[in-house]
Amino acid sequence: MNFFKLAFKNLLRRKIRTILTIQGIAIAIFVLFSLLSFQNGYKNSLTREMNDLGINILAVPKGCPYEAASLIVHGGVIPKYLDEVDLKQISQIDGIELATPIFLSQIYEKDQERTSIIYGIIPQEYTKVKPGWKLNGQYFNIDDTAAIIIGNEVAYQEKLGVGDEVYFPSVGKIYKVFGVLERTGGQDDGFYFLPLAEAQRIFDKIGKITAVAIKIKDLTKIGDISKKLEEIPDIQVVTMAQVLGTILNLVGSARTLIFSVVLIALIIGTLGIVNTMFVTIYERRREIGIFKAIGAGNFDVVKLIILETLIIAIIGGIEGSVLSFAGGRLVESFVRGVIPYAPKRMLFTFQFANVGIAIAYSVIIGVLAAIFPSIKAASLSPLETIRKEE
Amino acid sequence: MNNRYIIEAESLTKHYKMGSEDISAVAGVSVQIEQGKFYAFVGPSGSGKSTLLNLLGALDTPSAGKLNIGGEQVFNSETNGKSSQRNLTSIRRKYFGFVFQNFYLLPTLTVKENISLPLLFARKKIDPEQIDKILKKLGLEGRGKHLPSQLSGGEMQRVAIGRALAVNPQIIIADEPTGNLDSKNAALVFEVFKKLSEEGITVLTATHDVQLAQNFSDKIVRLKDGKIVEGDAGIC
Repeated sequence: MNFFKLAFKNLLRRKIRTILTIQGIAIAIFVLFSLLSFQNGYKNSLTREMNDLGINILAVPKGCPYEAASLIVHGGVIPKYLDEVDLKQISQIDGIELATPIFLSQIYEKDQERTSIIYGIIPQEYTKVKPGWKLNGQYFNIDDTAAIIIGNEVAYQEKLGVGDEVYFPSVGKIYKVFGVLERTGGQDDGFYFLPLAEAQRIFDKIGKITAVAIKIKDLTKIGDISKKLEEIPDIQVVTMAQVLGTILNLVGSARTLIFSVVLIALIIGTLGIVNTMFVTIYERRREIGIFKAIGAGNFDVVKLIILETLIIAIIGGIEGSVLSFAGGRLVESFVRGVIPYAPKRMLFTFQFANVGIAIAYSVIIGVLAAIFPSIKAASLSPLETIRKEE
Repeated sequence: MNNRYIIEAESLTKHYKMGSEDISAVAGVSVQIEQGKFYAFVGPSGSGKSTLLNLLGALDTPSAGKLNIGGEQVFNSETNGKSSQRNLTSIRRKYFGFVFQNFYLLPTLTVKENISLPLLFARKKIDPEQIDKILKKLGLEGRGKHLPSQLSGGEMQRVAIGRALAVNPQIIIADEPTGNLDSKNAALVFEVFKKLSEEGITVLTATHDVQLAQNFSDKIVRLKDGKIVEGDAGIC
């Protein structure tokens, strides 16, 4: 017989209440743990995705540059275009290693209810801003008119391989798959890549460019180059660091909102536990009185109540951590639906440090929730409690 | 005060406020309790026997009077000497074992665990042999691993006595210990008290059952309206 065993057996006497209290803590910890995992995972994922992009600056038509940049990153269509004169002017600026045009549009097949995102590129240039690309097969030439490269996800979904043919009914044309990209883990996995001129032709936008991807020689000169680029009348520049910052800011606002709600939920949860402990102690006045009559001091009573609460809190903490580990995917799919931009990589990363934080939090909740009830219990007079019950 | 007495009370008084009315539950009681004797406090309901036992057992503090336990001053209204709650706890741990009418065993603990509970609070080593001896003394061999719900009322009360004995107390306070028992089990419990007193443990019990008190106790203290009503110093 020891205090731990006594505390544990006491909890077993009120199984349903104990289980419900544990579930309350587990849910609070699940939410906390998920948020912590999201905080780490999202930022890492987004940063990696931006790095994989390999582009330092994106030149886009004047209008709404950050939105345009975000759309371009994940295959959205913007209704404004640059032209080849702009591209020529950009290319003449000192310090630019490469400026390659991108044409971006979508094909919607009504019958199949399928949207295909088409990227028009010059592969010999574009691969320089995508150093991480690995291709099974071969790149097409700039003047090819019936060749296509597809992302890994497209190949998997459409069951396509090198040498297969892709037919777009609304375009009325068949393209031969020259290459399939190995999985990038980013948005490129879901795109079709055509030679620039062919992409412009099928959308009837000859000579039009959605954006110019720019790689510069020296990253420290990014500010000067951006200024020179902005002197060109038709364009606005967005550095990828700005895009990253904008998205992180947007997500940060959403996160602050979620954190506020979670904080309120955690406070309510903690008060719930305090309430449960108070009710339990009220019901156990006689038992506490008996403990004191048979020799328990105030410290023993406080110790017992805190131990009981800690057992509940720690079990709840562990359960909450396990739940978040197991249910992370579920939460991830929910979060993807509510945040402004979700990278393709895992948003939730499991870190043992987070388990530590979650357990530590549950212990803090436990101790805080137990302090007042245990002091209240210890202050009970043994006789008063016994007499009231009789 | 005399060393022969383990408890000495002089003009012990306990008032309660009930609304605007002042109730004297114990009104100036003086008793001297000899070590190793079995005392039965008898009287009708409301006579103050339970309140007096609670005062003598350091479970409650008097309103006035003097109280010494084991030669230690617990309360003296003349010198304003009053033990703190912590001292009362330590006095209870040092001298007393308590037995209640409703047993108050913990339902999730086995018989052995219930008996060893006071040792946990007293920070004493739990000696399984000692617990077995207590079980044997109380006729509870083979019941050590049972839960209270598996015992009869008489057995439960004997477990409660075992719990009181675990810390080797000098005094056992038993408030209406037979109130929930049939006459056969009640007699068994009083027989145990008698044996304990013969071993040198002082037993103070409150009971309605005068017959039982007469059959087993060494001394009977009759109370009415908070006062001792019979015998020299209230003891006959």
